[in-house]
Amino acid sequence: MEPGASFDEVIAREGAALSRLAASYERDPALREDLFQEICLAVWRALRTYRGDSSVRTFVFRIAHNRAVSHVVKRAASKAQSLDALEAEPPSTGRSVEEHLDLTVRAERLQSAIAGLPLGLRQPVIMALEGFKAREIAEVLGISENAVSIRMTRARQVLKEALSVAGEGKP
Amino acid sequence: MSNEANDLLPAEWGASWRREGMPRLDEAIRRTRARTRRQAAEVGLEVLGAVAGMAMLIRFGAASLHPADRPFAMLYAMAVAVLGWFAVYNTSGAWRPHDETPLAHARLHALRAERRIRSARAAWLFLGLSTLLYAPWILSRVQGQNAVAGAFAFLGLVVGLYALALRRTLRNAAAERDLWTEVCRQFEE
Repeated sequence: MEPGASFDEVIAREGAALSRLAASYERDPALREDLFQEICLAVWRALRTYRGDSSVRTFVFRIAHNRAVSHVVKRAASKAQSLDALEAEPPSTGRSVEEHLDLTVRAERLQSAIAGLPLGLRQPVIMALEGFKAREIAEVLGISENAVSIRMTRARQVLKEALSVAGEGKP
Repeated sequence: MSNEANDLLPAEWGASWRREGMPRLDEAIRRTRARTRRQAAEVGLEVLGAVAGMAMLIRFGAASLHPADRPFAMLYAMAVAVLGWFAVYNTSGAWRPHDETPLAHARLHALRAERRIRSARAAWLFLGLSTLLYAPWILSRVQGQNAVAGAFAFLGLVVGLYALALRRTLRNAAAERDLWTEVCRQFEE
């Protein structure tokens, strides 16, 4: 997609990834949907300023991460909580039995473990899971590729520990 | 860009991750558009309300002019102008982030929270100054002991509500500044 990419095209292509991104920042299903809407709105507004300096995907993920972090801070402020306390909240999937059957337990565990990561580790992990290369993650986050590697190493360790505690040691 | 798992994380994690249910994208687009239209309508209504309120004030003020109104209005307008200038000055450098990275975004919001704290402190000064201006104006403008007492009671109520709102603003802004500072620290680690 080039400059002038339409909102519909972007959402059709990246909507699922943006929805997963929202889920990794917000565990409450109703608030998650709100966050997804906020991200869509932020993307819609920001697309007018897109000049093609980076790929649309990189641009959209930056906007989405920024909006999601704002959501986390706003939520923590409204509950008078620290970021750590918010990350430590138990997951509340709120899904019906039927929905639960549609999703594997592994996906649930992985999502929960990722939602518990500190923001600085969570962002590169989400992008890596969406297929971003280290160079692209570095571009989105504005850090060096070396810093991405360091964060990914730390995140892998934390995730493996969290997943092994949660169950079988695999997502 | 490939959507396959890359070498940064185990491949099965990527597969698990993408198993999450697909959202209703057509619904997301429809709701985003509806939300945008609603926000635009709300801004339009707010502007209309402000203009109507101002017109009413001017009309009622002009209908019952008093010699004490002019100096009061001039001093109050000067105080409002100073506050307006300060509000603009206070936002300088806090309009846009240096770039679109999450760290720049977090720094910008930490700065904005800090400026909101400064702005709330200035509003305390404005509140005190307004109260000082209103007191002699009420004494010279309002006739009758009961009417004066009523006017001061109303002023006290407005000042009290304003003070409560300011206190809440200060507390929220301080909490947000601390949270954004923590986000910056996490991104810088």
